[in-house]
Amino acid sequence: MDNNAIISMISLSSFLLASSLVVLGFKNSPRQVIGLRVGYFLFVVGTLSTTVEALQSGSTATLLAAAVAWATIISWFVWKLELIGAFTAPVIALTLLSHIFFLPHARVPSSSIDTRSLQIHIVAAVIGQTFAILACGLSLLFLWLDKKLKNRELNELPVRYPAFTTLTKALNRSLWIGFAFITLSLLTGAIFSLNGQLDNIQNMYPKIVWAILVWTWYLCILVLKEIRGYQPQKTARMSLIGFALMSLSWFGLLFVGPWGAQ
Amino acid sequence: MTNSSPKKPRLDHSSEFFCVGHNHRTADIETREAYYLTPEQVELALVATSKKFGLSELAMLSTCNRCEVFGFSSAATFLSVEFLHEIYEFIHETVNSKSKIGPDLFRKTPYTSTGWDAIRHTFHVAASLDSLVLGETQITGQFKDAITIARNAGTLGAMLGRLTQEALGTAKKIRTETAIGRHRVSISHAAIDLARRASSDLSTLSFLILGAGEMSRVAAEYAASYKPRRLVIANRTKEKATTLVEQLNFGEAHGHDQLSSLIAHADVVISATSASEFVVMKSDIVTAFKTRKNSRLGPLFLIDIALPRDIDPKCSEVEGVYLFDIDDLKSVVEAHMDKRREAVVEAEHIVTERMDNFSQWLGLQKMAPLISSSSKYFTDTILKEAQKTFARENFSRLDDDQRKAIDAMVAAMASRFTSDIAKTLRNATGDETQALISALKALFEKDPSP
Repeated sequence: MDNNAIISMISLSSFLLASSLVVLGFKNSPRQVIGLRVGYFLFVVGTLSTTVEALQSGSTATLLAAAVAWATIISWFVWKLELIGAFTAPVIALTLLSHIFFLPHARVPSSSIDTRSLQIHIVAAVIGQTFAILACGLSLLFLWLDKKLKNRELNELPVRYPAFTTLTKALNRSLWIGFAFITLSLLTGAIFSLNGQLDNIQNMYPKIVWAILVWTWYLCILVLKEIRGYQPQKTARMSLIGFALMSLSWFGLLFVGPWGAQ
Repeated sequence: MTNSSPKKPRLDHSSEFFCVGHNHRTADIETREAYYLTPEQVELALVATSKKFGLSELAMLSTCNRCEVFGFSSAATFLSVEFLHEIYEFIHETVNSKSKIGPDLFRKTPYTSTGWDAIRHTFHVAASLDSLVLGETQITGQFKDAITIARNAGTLGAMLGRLTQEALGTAKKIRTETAIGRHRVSISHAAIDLARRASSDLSTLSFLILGAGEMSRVAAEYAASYKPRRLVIANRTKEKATTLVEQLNFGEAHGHDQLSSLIAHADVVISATSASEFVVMKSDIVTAFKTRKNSRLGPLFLIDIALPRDIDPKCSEVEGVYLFDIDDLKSVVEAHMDKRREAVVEAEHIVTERMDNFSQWLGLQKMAPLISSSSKYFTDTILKEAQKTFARENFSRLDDDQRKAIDAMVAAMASRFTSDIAKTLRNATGDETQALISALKALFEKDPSP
């Protein structure tokens, strides 16, 4: 087994284990604290090994996994949102699995077809998708809190569960940042294809159409939220749909074109 | 009250501590009310009782939940139940002429405890482990006041002083190291704490409190302590709201005439009026939310702590509105009480540990005269022998420095022997201690042999 395979195994197993441990944060029992801490530790281990893997392989899936992992860790410190890891850890594990089984060769283009716009396109897409994933996790946390409070299940809410204002603020920022980068990735992708550097553009049509659909959906969320004054509950539900659309463009169009997952 | 004493039973002053009185476990509210004494009465009673019974160490804790006398008597043999009842009766007869309780009830009701039971009870009272609301903080302050009163009355001696000091130290340790006081257990406090689900930083929230009664006052005081972005007190009679705002020196007062507008600008509404019908209707919330959309406020928490309820349950149908009533808060308070109860086990460990320290201190107090005698015996004996030796011709040529060195060695030897004896006494238990004390008394409590 070579070094890359070992790192890959460490990343995947860390996030799989972290997925099952970080959910302990939803329980109020102090006995869960050790398990939770082990979960966070494994998450950090997984983040470091995935970053090494992403830098070595240049694979878009590992780049995305590393970006989501770092965004999660940053959100722990900035917004004290430790519980977001309960959502992002399985998403990262799934992304790494997709890399192992479906996209082992999907990577950032080599220098032969390298252009600045394509590089920016990929980086922007990864950051945009990272924040869309984060927004989805935040939406789930928000809607769970909403449900528990509506049903008055006060004793079932974990002590460390984030407050509404924290979740709303984090969700709004994630949506705005995600939208900005998705827009940038669409623009740079368009420039790249208009320059005629894509051999089989027909193969990319479903992906382009789907990416525009995802972008339009996020635009709708922001317009309705900012102009129509939509309640955060509606914004949260819409961002869940946005994430579902984006996942389809990631997993559903895996086999379209040479860089289907980019 | 438990009967456990420190791990090693020792021969010490513990049996000379006593406690007599009423508390919420042993007496109903009428009885406690009748026995309540003001701080001035307590001071007078301590002075008079101390003189009458020849008790130099007495303190008294008189609160709404307890009226208890703590004391230390060097004549432990007299600490019978009857004697303690007599003390208690005398205290109340001296200063509480309004007492409606007859002498028969006097003798039946008060509980008594002596020795380690009394010591443990003192620790429990100071640490709020014996309080009606487990872990409440008020009792520790009242306990400190009781010590001050006893000191002013001149009835706080070394033994009782040390006991109360240890009890307060234990209370502090329990509060710092266990979860006993971490969870609020009053409905008004729980209402404000619930607002943390809206924002973890309460200073960013806008509170609207409906009503100006006792529950509103407690909630408003607690909210004001966080200096929230806005605190509005709205009452049907605006003057009452104004009075409360003046007392708080924070917030603004309103009537009920512009309720929708007030709700529109609030994040948390706490209602505790005495109205017999709903004060807040769904239509008020809908109207308020139309204004809120423009100002982009977050969710609205409606917390109804009134009975009968003030807020129409249909209000919760509006998206972004979370309604809670007194039953929901009771479940939170109950859960908090459970957490406090869980912390009691940990607190009891601390009490036992600190009682062991106190026991060691007590042991040393009892043995202090004996240790002092042994030290004197060793020093005198060794010095006498040393002088005999120095008188011999071959030691007469020693200079001053050499003599000083030998004197220092003699003193060190005496000190070492005494220290070994003290250590042996400290570690001895039960009969062994008694045997050692008898032997040491026979050896040392006499003049050194010529």
